[in-house]
Amino acid sequence: MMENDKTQQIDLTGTDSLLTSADEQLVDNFFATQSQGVVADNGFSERVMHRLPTTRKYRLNRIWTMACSVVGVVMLWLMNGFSVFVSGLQNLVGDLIGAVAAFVVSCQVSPLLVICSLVVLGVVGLVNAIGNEEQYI
Amino acid sequence: MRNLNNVRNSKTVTDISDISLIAQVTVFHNKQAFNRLVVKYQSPVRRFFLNQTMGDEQLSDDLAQETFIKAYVNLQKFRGLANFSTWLFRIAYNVYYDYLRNSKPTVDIDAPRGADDKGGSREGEVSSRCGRADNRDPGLRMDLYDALRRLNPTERTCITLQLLDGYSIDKIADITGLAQGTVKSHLSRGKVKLATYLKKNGYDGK
Repeated sequence: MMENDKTQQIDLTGTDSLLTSADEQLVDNFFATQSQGVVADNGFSERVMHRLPTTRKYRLNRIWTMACSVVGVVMLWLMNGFSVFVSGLQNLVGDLIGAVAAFVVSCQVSPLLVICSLVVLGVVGLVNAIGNEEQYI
Repeated sequence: MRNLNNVRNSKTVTDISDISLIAQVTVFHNKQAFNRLVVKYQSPVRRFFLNQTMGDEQLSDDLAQETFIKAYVNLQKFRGLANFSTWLFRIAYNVYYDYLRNSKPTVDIDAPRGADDKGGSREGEVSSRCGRADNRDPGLRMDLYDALRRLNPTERTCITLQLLDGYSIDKIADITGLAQGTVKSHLSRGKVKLATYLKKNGYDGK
């Protein structure tokens, strides 16, 4: 039965002949004229990004991050961490004022330059992180 | 020789860049990194589906979208044994075959659609939906799709991957999961059918 079906298919499609090099050349030439350019995006990528599902791992990651943040804030409050934090900030501001007062124009790296660089890097990192989160929410 | 080395180097750089983007998606859940992968591969994936569906742009976009979503969900399973584009095309191939199985449960998916195919209304519907993304000459495009219509889906996949996307036989075997001998046989049978069709329509290959 299978053999009959196979014979019938060959008869119908007429492909029981062998591929000659002339035929192959003919097909190659035909496809060479059919070069296909780049398919324009036309908003396709954006549509895909908006349809991406939130994976279980991603959800767990977000829950874990939020839980750790909450625990951190609670511990800070319970252990009187806020006053330590405020005192640390006051020290930092004092140091900054001292650094500004001691500022010398030279090519050497000063504490002020280091602090400014760290602040700029922190702000850029924060902006990138927020931008990344907000883009596909 | 220098050109070959340049091609190899650029391919290695592409692979490293893909792996870096994949790492950003899987480790840091960075969706922007996945967006860059989508932007980079949307054209070849959509063109693959356009060729399989013979120009049905809406269906191609739906299938391509499904492909990228499956790639995103399963990205942590990508082990880097094949390069990313081969892995992505393998997903695309499976998506297309799942679509064929689901849309035509009673029709043999290996059956070719000849000129006397009763699905004329569907082809008319397809014709009305195709053409916006593909900016080639409409006459040439219809010739290509008419020619591809002579082939069964597996032959069409092998032929388009080789002659339009430039994949080697071993890569086609990786994408389709077929043995290399089977791929060669599909290519050979497909080319015979295409040559017969082209000769009947006055192409002399010059």
